Amino acid sequence: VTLVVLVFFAVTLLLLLLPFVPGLRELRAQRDAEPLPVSAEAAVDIRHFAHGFRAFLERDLGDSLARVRTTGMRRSGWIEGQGQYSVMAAGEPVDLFADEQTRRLIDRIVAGVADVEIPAGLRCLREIYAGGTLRAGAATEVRAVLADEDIVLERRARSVRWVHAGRDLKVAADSVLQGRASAGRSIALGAGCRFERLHAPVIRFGGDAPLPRAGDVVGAAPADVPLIDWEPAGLGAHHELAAGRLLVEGDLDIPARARVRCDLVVWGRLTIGAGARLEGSAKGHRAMRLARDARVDGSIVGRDDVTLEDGVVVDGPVIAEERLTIGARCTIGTAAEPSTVRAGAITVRAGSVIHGTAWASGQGLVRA
Amino acid sequence: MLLALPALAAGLTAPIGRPWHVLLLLFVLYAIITLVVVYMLRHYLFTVNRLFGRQRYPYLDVDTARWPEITVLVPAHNEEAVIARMLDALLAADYPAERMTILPVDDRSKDATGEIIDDYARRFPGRIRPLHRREGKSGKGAVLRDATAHVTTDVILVFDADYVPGRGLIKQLVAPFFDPEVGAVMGRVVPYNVASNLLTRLLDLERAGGYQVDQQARMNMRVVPQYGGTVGGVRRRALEHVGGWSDDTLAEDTDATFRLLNGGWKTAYQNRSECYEEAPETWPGRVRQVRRWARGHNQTMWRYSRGLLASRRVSALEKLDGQLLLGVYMMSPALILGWAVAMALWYLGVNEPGLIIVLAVTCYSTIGNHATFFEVAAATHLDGSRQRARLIPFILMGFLVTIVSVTKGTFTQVVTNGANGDLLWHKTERNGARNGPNARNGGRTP
Repeated sequence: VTLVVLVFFAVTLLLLLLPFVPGLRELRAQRDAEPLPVSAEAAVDIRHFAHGFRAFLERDLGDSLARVRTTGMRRSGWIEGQGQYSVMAAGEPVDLFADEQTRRLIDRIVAGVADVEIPAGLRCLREIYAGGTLRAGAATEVRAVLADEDIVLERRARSVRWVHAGRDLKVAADSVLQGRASAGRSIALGAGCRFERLHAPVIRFGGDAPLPRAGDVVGAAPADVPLIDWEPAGLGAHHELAAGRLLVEGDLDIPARARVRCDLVVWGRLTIGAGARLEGSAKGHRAMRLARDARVDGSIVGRDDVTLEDGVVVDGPVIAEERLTIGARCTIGTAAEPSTVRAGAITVRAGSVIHGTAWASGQGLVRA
Repeated sequence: MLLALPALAAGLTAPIGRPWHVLLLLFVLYAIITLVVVYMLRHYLFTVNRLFGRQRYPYLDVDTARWPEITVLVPAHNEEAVIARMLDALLAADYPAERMTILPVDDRSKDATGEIIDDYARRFPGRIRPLHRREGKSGKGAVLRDATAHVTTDVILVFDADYVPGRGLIKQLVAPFFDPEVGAVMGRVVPYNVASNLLTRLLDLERAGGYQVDQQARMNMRVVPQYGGTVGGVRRRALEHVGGWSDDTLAEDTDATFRLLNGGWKTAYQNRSECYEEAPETWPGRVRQVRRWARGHNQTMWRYSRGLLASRRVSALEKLDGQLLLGVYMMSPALILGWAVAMALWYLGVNEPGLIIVLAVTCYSTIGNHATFFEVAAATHLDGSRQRARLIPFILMGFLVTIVSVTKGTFTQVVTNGANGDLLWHKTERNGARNGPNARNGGRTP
């Protein structure tokens, strides 16, 4: 009996201690004892991958690029861990091998010291660099593109991961920009284009559609019609005006041509009337609608759908947790103070401009 | 009258066939088990939400904006080992320098903290505006109250002196303030001295579970993310709207969270706004820290629990989560009481093993501030740090230390000081540069 009891306790003790064995081994070996990496820049800086690729070019292809610039002779080779590469001289077309011609697919890093032209319908599985302007023909698919000057993507082109242009990025109609797209000066997207994350001092939607120009009265009331200061009268007991913020427990309609001088937090639907001006920010728990030519000095934050009708101007960030619809001739952010537009899905009518960043966590679409 | 109660109870319970004291003990046990099960379900709900639910990061992508003027407060009491590293990190932050004022508060330091701060102020005029606090009440709440009187900006960020903010962190913490409903913001705390000893490894796991799972799940579910007093900030006019910093509490952060909530202001949690901290490296230091948290948290519970239930500005779901959050530190004494009652019942011959088993199994899943094992497992999975999940069984040690420390702190608070407790502030010991983040890959101090 004693032996049975001893065995019982031994087995019980063993079973109790067994789960600690892997932990003891980890404590001894310290295989996963580093602090969790904190990488804020990667999440925030849209050019993170472009910077990484440029660093790669300088580190691994810097000599080749310099030599091709000097000799005018193309070079190709192999980089350990990266695969095949080709460096093209100025004025050279992308040279395609026979099998690449057949398959319409190129699986090597291509770097050009000047302009680069990608033939129409080609799929590029690796990064492409152009020391000048990169022009991708219709229906091309590029994985990642870096150009020191401009990038031009013709109709129905597609970028899979990221593109960055030192100056302008021009994307023709019905193209798709997956991942990140950025430019040092401007981005122009044609009608039917789809996008995820864009960043540039000026992002124009709709290609050749008329854009708001400096001096336009977009979003502002004509000077001869004064705005009327709005007071939260008639809202009953279900509101509170305190700390520079009006909290409304139900729906709120700001009349047309009204001027509101506080922040708004509305638990129901919020409508800001045509030509009205909000000298603060607004948050809505349900659908938000900014009517034609309304203007907001601060930000717009919606837990649900947000609609900006034609001619709306918002200086601060626009955040919609669901869908964001931006009408024609809208302006978000300013050239001096760029801003961010962020939503689950974004639809923009041709003729609108965003200064700064536009990020659709689902998909963005440019409508004619 | 009182003497008649047992007789009355005996008369009432006679038909059930059990003496009144047994029924009373059973009632207590059932009540505790109910609470335990409720907390367990809450933790499971959070974990399932993080693993399979829709994730909300509404402010994460705001990277370009007209950034507001801000003030960064750094309360520092005898922080000579770490304050320079903190100021260096803030000076290197990616935020318009002309819109950010750094206000380190030398709170009656007896070491070289004041001189170090003054040296930085001389080297970076206009960017660092030091405040030397020579008198006044003790406690972080009092320090923040005094310092906020010198602040003119609407957005105030607060860091502890041992924290090491990354370059992009300031913008990430400011971004939620573009939402006019947000009154406070909290980022994620990540220990950098993980490898020091078993305690720091356990605290690393606990922090992961608490932030990666609990806080983000609350953000996802639109309930009550908690402002934690470090790696975060407040909107000054919101805080003033609800009475400013409390200087008579040990948990000015939890206090602010609930006053803002009752006043119709939300706390936003930014899971990807991570900041390194130095976790306590000794068990006595950890015990003091937990006891302080427990006493401060309980103060908040006594003060705002009823107000939370009565507030018109708070949704029903927020009220439920808020009450559970407020009561979290009461679960440790409740569990110990439950075990004692279960044992007493057993000795009284009440053989209800099912109840004891339920209590024993579920109690391990309930200590709110002490992240539960499945939350930690989910957090390590989400963080992609698989090897450290092997240490999860050791959480049992931390659990036992926590339950005893919290119970002792709560008991002392109630018995000796009343519900409001004392205000003696036990500063957490720093080890400083010895284990600074530069020592390991994860660190990014300038």
